[in-house]
Amino acid sequence: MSRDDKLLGPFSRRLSSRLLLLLALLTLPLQWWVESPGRFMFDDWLGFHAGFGFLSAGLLVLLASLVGVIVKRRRDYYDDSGGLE
Amino acid sequence: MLATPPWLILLVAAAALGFLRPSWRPLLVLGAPLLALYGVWQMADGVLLSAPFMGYQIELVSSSPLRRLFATVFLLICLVGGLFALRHARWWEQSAALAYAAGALGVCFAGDLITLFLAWELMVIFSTVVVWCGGTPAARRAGIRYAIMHLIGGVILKIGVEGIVTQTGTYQIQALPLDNFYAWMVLAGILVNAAAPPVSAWLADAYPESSPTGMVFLSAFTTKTAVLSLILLFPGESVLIWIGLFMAFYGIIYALLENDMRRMLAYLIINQLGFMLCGVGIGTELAINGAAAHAFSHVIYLALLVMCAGAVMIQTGKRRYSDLGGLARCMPLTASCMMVAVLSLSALPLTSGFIAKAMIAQALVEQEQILLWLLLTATSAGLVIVGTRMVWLVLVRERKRDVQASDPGWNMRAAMVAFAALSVLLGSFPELLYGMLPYVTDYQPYRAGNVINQLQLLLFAGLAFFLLHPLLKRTSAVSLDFDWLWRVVGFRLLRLVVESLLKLFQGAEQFAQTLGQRCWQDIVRLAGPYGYLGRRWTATDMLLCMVGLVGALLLYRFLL
Repeated sequence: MSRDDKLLGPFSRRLSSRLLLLLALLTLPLQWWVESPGRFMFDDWLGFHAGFGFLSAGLLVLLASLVGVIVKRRRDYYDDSGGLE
Repeated sequence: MLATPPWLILLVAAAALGFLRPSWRPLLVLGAPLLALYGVWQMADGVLLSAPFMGYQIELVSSSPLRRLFATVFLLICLVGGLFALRHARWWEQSAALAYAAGALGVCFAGDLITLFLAWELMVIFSTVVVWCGGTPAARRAGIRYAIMHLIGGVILKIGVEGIVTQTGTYQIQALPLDNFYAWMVLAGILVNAAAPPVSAWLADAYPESSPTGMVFLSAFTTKTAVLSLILLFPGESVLIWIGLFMAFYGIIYALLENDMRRMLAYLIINQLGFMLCGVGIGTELAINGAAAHAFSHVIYLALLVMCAGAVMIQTGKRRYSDLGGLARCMPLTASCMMVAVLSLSALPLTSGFIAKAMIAQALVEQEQILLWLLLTATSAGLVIVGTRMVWLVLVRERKRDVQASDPGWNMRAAMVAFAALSVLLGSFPELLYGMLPYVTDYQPYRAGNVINQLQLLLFAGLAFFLLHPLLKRTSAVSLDFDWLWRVVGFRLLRLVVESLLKLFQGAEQFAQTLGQRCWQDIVRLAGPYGYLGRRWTATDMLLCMVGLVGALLLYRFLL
């Protein structure tokens, strides 16, 4: 296995996703130590931004998948749709 | 102090480029923006150059901190984009790009609506040429659609400008209240260039068809001059908030759907413009600062992404995710720059995206627009998905066997590194950017709470990508956009109308022909050689006829 394959292989990809999870989880307790901006009610809630980021990203992916069902057409759609080409 | 208008320097350079020897051209391509940049930084505030034009005294150069900010970033694009294109683009593309930049600078420093309109049209002409420089049949067709859309936008803008000039007698650039038809027309004309729905599709239609080098210029000038014009003419108009919000969601959803890397970037531009329009719509000093800062930083990191995508396209000949993968191995520098651009796009602390977006977010909170804040923050989480997906599919995922590539030439590498470094520099030292903003600000983006909140948002959105990315299939398909309305529905309707009219004319012609034939047959039957009138009459018939006619005449005279 080459050096490049080690860097970008399946093992490395698994490791980086786990590292990301660890980093993400680490930011949760950090919230106790730092002063919250307290800009509005739920700004202070523990993990609000984490949950909001996860949920909104997930919802956007689902929404995009649904929209995709409606708007996706084959690649040559405009070539033979009788449209302005 | 003003020696020469900065746009004139670029226009002269654009005109002279074709006459120079190839070995001298780089000097002009890089020297002209540098000279213009020096001129911009030497400018004092106020009207610096005016001239009579068709009975009006127009202000060709009017300077302010906001205008200088936009001019600076446009000239940076001109310089670094020129460097990126140096050994790849033909001279006429570079010449068109310089003239296009001159138009953008003309808008930046326009002191009145007439100058703004003239510079606006200059941009339309040369941006169309830049699209055409893509050199493919698709680029030619997209360029024509782009020109039609922008010429219509120009006509709308002109109607508005003329109406305002004749109605109020003033044509200076100042905030226009949206209380009359002409102000709405000016707004509509500008929104065409800002790629606001329902005419947003021109951006994703035309920009990806330009050359890998041409898109760097296109990604910066047209839409950002529209943002500047909105800041100057319509600050605080709440309608912009809702248009901006729609653009943010529309852009991110379509970017998530795209399989074509360059079309995805085009949708990202629309998404980011949505943030800027929201800032302009809020209209407070902090929000305007945020919109201006975001425009500045966005131009840099988006141009960086466009350069990286362009480098990938030049080196591999491919632009679809389904055809790419594993390029981090063979294009390490391009991969590193793409990572920086994606992190900046996601607004990671220490990048330029963070310091700009944080300002808009703070302005929303100060105006108690919490729902709006939530919605825009949700699209920020979507940006993490889009960026991570790009990195994953182009750089990390298993390599396609037929893709052989290496980092591009020295000029392209230098251009990408320059913008990556600038993005990190601005993010690390926000006062560099904040010092150029139109309003003095003491806003501090790097509060511990802010940073932790942002990191939580980004990291957990990134986790959502790893869980859900199989849902975003890389289908080799095209996503129908608003342009479907005129490319298919509109065209079919037009064809239906033309065909109906043709049928109507054919029917009328046939009817007239049949009627004529029948009339002729009746005449022949009546007066032809064998018709009733044509045959030989007997003396009795003639006499009876004469008597009848004389009797009728007498009766007529008698009764009247």
